[in-house]
Amino acid sequence: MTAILVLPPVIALLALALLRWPAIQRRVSIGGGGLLALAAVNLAFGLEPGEIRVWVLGGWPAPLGIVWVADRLAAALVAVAAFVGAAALVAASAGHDEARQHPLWHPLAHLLLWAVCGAFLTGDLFNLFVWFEVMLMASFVLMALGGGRERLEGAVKYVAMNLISSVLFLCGCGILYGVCGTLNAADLARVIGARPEPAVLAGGGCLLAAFLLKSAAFPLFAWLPASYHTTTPATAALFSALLTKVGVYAVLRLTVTVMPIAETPLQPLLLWLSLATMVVGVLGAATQMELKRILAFHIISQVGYMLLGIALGSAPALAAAAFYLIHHIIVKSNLFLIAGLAAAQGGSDDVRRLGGLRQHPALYAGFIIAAGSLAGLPPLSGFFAKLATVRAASELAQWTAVVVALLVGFFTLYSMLKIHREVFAKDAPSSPAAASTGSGSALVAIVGLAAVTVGIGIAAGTLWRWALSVGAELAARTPYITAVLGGPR
Amino acid sequence: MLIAAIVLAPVLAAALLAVAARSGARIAALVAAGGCALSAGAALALLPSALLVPETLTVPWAAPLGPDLALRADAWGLILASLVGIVGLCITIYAAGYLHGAPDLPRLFATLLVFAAAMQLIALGDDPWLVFIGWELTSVCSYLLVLHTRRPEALRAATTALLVTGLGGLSLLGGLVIVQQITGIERLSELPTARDHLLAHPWMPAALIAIVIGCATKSALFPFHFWLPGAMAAPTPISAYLHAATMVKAGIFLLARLHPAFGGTALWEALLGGLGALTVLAAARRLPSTDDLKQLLAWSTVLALGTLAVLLSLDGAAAMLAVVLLLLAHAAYKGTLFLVVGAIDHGTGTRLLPRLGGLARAMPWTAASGMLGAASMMGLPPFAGFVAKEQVKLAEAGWLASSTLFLSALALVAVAWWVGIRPFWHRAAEPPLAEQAHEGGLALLVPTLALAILGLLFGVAGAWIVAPLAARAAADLAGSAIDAGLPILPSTALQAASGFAVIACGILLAEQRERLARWLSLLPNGLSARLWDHALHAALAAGRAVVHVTQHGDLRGYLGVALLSGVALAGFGLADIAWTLPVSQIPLWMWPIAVLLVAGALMAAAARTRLAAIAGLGAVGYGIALLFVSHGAPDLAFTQVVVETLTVVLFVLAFRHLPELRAYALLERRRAVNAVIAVASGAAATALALAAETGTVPHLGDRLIAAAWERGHGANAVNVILVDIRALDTFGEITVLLLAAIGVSALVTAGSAPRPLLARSPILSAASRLILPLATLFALWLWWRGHHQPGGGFIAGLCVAAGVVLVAAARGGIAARRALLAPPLAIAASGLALAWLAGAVGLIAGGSFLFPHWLGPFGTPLLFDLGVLVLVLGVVVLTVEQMLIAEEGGT
Amino acid sequence: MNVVLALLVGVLVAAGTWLVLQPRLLHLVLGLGLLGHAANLLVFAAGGARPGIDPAFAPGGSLPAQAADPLPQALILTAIVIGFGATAFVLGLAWRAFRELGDDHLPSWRGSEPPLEDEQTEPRR
Repeated sequence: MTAILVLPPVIALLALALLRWPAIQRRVSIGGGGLLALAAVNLAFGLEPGEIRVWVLGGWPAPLGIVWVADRLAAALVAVAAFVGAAALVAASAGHDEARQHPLWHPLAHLLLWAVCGAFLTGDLFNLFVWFEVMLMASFVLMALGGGRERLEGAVKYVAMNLISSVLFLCGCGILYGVCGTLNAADLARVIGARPEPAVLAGGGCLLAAFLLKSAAFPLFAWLPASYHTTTPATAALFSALLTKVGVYAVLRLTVTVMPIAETPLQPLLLWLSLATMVVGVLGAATQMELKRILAFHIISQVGYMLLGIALGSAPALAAAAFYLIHHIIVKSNLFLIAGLAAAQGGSDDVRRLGGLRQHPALYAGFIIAAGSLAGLPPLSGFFAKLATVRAASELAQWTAVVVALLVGFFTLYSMLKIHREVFAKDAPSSPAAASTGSGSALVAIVGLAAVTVGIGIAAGTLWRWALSVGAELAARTPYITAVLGGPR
Repeated sequence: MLIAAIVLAPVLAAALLAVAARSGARIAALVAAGGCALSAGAALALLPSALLVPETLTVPWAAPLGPDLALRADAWGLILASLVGIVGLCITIYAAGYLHGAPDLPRLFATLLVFAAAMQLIALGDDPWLVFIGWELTSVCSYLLVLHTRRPEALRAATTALLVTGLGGLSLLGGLVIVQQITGIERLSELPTARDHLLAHPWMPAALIAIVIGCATKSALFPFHFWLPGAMAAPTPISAYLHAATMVKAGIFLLARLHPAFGGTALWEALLGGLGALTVLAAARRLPSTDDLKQLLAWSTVLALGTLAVLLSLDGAAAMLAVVLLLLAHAAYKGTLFLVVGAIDHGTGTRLLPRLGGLARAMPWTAASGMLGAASMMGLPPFAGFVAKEQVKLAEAGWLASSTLFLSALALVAVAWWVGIRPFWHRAAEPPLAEQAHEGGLALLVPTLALAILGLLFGVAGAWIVAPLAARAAADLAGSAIDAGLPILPSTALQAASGFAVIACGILLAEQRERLARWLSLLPNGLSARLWDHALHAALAAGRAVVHVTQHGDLRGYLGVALLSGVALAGFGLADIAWTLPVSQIPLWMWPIAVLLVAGALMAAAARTRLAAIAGLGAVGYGIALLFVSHGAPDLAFTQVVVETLTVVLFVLAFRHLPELRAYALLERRRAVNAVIAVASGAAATALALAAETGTVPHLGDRLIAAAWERGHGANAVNVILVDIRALDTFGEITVLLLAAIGVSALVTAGSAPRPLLARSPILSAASRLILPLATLFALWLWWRGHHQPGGGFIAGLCVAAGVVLVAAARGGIAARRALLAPPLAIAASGLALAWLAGAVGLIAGGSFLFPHWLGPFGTPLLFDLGVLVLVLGVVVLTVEQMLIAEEGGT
Repeated sequence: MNVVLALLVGVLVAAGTWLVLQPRLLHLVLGLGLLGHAANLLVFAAGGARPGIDPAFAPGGSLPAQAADPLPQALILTAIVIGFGATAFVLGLAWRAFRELGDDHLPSWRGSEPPLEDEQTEPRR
């Protein structure tokens, strides 16, 4: 865990110092990203089943100071995030990516990754707020880099909406501290117990609104389709993989660990919101004709699946949500990288103006795997994620959720088919644009991520058993609380 | 291990093709044929064991969520598996000749092999999820194969086919999930044992309907049959394989597998009987008006599938045996006729029935194959079609099923006549066409003839080879044993006479093709296809409506929804609070502060000029500072004052370039809505603030003053919290500052260094020389005492920054730069580096990052605070400087 | 119950909300600033701020009998600084956006939004 906290700021500072030497900067940055990924993977695989590692920062034990807590879900998410981050860093040095041209991109990306890891690992509510802010500010700058009308307009909307979320988050923090007298997540969970009292519920409601906005849940998602598509491919890969997922993770921690919503009116509300999120996102995507816009709407719909798992709240449902998170981070970032490369090859983001890219074997294979997985085609990772969610919903006899989840899968297939048909299968409408050179590094990232997607499918059984134990651990709550408050091991 | 070979042989062959992607078409065909042959051989070799104890294989994979690799080679599965292998072998050879010279052949063959493997999973899979995987893979492979030509209509048809079957796949998934939920079984072969439990369960109808929908889409049953004729855009051998012999049988195959569990229930009979009958009708309606031979075959396939569904709806072993036999016979004769049509297309360039005739002379071998296929399809003895048809007659059918089966028999005769006989023996409609026609070579002839002869063999050898296997399969499917004797010739004169009568009627009808077409055109046509299109369009329209409503583009709407959502979500808790309001005494001096705040807020909200608005915001900020200082928070007040001043400066600098707050007209309704949202948010915020005080738990912070002194070596608890207890928060906070500074510098396009803001005055210039060192000294003092008294690195940094800004104002940006010794961004970054260093010292000395380490009065928290100082200096100077640049370049 | 603080929070939130719902870019920036102030004050009030209480100091190690809770103060200090960073960035963004878009009327900004129906008939470049 130390490396995850200590390494990224150093890499970012080094990258800042190397602004004038972009080639060296890229190497240092990619190397640093690789080290971070190694450290994160090491952490994730180093945890024994049921182990929750607590790290007391600065020697102030919980609940006095800040602790970082790596249970197996957090560690796995950090590992996946760091891996995707490394892939995006590699892809960012591709010739077609605008990110390559901007020397500030690498330091910002490292700080963003750092904040994402911090948000996954922290066991303190206000510390989470701080990481959210670091993440936001880094994303603000990344989004606005380079300027341009569309990008600035999207950035203003993105920034304004997310600042509202920050305000809500801060208010929620203050209220929970006022009522419960503590900020440590485990301590809050202990004080709140299984049935939150009304004042806690009010504060938790503020937090939930803040997190749902960050997760792009219905009806708080409008900032996402207005802004994500304006970013460069590598930036979009980072954002799509990580930002909303940190929001989903925060919703999970809040509604499961800190403040169980099972017996509150928030539970059915969250359930219906998740269904609406799925439907609205997927229908929006079906109407779009530009690659990145289609994908942006699909983020929303997929977030709905994860929120559904969280709202259902049973151990298998939480396991499904955990599975979905991991699968989705990989697939979504890959699709954005693919879309970026495809748009660069064809000279347009509009699927109707593209075509013939099946002649590009690595890109084509990457797309088939990533898109098939997103659409839930077996035996890829998305199939298992969807199956797990549907089965968890049917176990609880939530038939509306089952039907909606399946139908949303249909429209996901519809969108992916549209992209496949227009961009890959049909012949290019005009003479193909000169293939942009130097996109090899993007292909490396795409193939690497696709390999992980296939790997998740192959190791689905192992991963699911892992997810089941994670779900049981989450649903039980007490392991987390005793691990943190019982002192560090 | 043979059972694994059935599945793995095509997979390995496909992998071989993928590796050798650049191999020629001939090698690719050889590899593909080899894969199919091995698969077929393994399946055939397993046949004897299927009659005794089915071989099984289980490799753990994704249980309990998804499938284990569980295979089971029972009779029914092996029948399909053999079919897939044998027909696959014929098809690959045929395709090598037929598609000679077409692009991307290795990729086509690889896809074909993956398809074959997926079919084998459906045939042999014993785990429902494994079967489902095969199911979906066949749909995807079908999609890729249909669009292979990349013609626009092929793209469209492939998409429709995959969407329909994909929707069905999801329905099937839902059905399987429910069945699994009810019964808890993990193997399909265990399903019959759970029959009673399943049928008694209230969710059973939902499960059954979902499964039947899934199977109906795959097997092109009404109302999902429309995708199949469209899929004929595929190359003909592909159509023969996927859309006649194998893939479309998957639905029937799976339904038959489920017959022991669901068969005999009213819902089962109604669903399958009804859908089957409607399918037969829909297909019969289209047959006479279809000119394209391939389309004709497609519709006849739909007809056959409907017939199979009707048979499945019946109970009893006789009906099941009829299903098995008809499925086999249909695969053989329909495959043959497809290949014949392919050969006609290849030899003449057309597939249109009215243009064809008299081809027997030019294409004798094809004509022979066509005749054999047609004979089987008509049900002439001793062909497979005859055996199947006789068994169909033995099934115990009600009047509806019987009449459907009769209609189907007539229609099959007619189609056989049109496809297998007429093009060759009818008078040539276009003599030149008939004369120029030619045979397509061995690669086309051999597989066609082989399939045709296979149909004959099934019939002739049926009694000895096929019969026991089919009987075993039928017994498994029906749950009761059946006699294995199959006739290869009619046993009585009456039987023979009735059979020939049907054939004669069929041929007579076939000769009245145009008239039939005219009559039938009175019936509705293509309803389900249109319904499908409408449904998709409706979904898209709904999507557009959603985008209209949610992405209207007006940020105010987004923000309003966000704020209201916050109010609503917090409202659930607020509504339940039992309010008791013991109002504490309000000191008199609170009132002016409150008035200042309210006045500032109102001023900002209602201002018509930029400066008034900024003044209002500033008044709020300073008012809050007064509140802080009067509520025991001097550090906060100090910081608030300095930050507010700086904020106001930045606002003034930036706002000068934005247009004046012109008068704007808001709609009355909009104003009212805004007011409601504002009041609701404000009320919720007040309620939240009050609700927070209902807590009875002692606050953690109350323990921190003592802890700060004892362990943190600081009397100022707030400062100790910031630089020690919660130093990580501060670390993040200064990172945010650094990021904001980077952002500002990236956004505000860099120009020249700012000119002096004020007129050069020697006094000011001289003063500024003095002020910077003084400010620095003062800052260091603030930093040092911050640990015990109000102060700290943040405020100290702002002090130095103020000095630098003054230098810049008095002597220009270059002088300020010189005074700073380094670019402000570098200073800010080094501040972060210092803070990191303080943390790293803790890591080395204390074992954790940011662990405080003290040497007398010097400790890492002080170093950390120094980092804050330096960073704040850099950030503030950078921001102000950029805003000044903005001023120069902005207008 | 610190009713005055709570009411002031309400007034600030209402004014900030009113401002962010106005059509001009400036309004948005001002409104976000006010909402930030309001959130800080809310944390202050929720943390149990009392008028006239002693600051959270232990001069020379002598603990005060009744002192303010230092933790919310530390949180607010962090939040103030973060808020300052956000404000500075938003100002820079507003400046740049106005410069490139030439328009400060937010409701007419929909160049980055998904194209509506009628815009979809022709492929966009």
